[in-house]
Amino acid sequence: MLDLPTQAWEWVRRSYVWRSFFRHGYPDSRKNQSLAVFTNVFLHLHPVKVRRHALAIPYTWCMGGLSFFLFLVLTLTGTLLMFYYHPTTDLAYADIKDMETVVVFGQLLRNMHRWAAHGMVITVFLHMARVFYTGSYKPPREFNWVVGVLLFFLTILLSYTGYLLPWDQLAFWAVTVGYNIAAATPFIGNEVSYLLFGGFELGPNALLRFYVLHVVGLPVLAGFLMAIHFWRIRKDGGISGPL
Amino acid sequence: MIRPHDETSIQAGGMIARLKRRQLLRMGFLGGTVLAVGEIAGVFLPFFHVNKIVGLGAKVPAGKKADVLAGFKSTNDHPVLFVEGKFFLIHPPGAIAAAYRKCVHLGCAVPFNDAEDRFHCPCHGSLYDKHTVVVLGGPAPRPLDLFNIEESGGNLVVDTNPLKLLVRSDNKWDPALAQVKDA
Repeated sequence: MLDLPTQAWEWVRRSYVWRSFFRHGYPDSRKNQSLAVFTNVFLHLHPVKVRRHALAIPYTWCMGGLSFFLFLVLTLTGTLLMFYYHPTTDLAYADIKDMETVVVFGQLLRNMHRWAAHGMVITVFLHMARVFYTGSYKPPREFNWVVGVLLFFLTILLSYTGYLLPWDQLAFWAVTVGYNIAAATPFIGNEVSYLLFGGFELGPNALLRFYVLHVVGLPVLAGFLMAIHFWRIRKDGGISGPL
Repeated sequence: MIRPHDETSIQAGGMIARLKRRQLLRMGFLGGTVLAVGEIAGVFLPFFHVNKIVGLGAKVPAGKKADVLAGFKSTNDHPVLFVEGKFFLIHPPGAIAAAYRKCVHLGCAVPFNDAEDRFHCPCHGSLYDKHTVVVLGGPAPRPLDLFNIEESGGNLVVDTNPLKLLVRSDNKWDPALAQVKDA
């Protein structure tokens, strides 16, 4: 009765395609398990072994991991929002309204994006505070602290650029404040704000620039720095605990 | 000579003679890369500098001069609002001028008040004259700023560049500001 499925399974397992995906059997020894983690592109992101103290939540409160989780949530929900949002002064506000009232699950999507963005600013700040209070910025982790500070700035910039996109009164005047701050740069203030915002006031160019920065420029930069950030954690002796 | 033969030629030839071929190639590649990156970085700023201005800052056509003057005559010099360019065409003595409608107090958009026959800022009550937009009352520190205006072929063109405003420090109309005469 089970002969045929068994034979089919064996045939699949012996096939060239299967063996090119899975080059060895189930790793049942400690060494092979380590090797399986090392050589797998997805699994190698996580350390092969986690020290017992690293599992203690009060050491880190998982704030870095939560920040990354929220970044992933924001990437996913943000990409979905992009399907219905036009970065033009005529359509932006109406698109957000439609997102809340017309698009199926659109309001949930937008609110997830909004709250995850607020949450990420909070968790990044708490992560930073934790690192500071536990002295985790000290050598050999000082380089990673610098990367972390850059990531904090990127988080703030992502929040700021995303703030303008609904193109409502709140967004417009909040970013107008930023325009005037840029214009207060000594000597070249007017040129700086003109260059950053693409005009003498907030207009279509500013909206488009902020949109491109928000959905491509800053996330790509943040992803690049995050890869370095996580890699350095491993190289500097793993997560939490004494060295 | 790229590769020195012996110690004496190194000492005699100085820095250039000390370079080995590999170093020279490495410096060449590095220099080329730095040059290329520098060029790309150099065009970045001009690329992001917008040349075609839309909205505030553009040169806004404000109609035929004759039509504007006829309009002033029939409406008892009622200022003409241009929403996109953010200015009022006004009729000071002997001229046509363009007043930037941003209140010089704290930046609100100033409307013309028909009942009072003057400009009345709704935010903090600054009052400006109908013809010359000098201050009649309220917290405004100076008259409304003026845009540059020019006449070409009977048509009026207003330069709404907010960095080239005509700013008046004294609270009166100066005939020298008359860029376009009304005659």
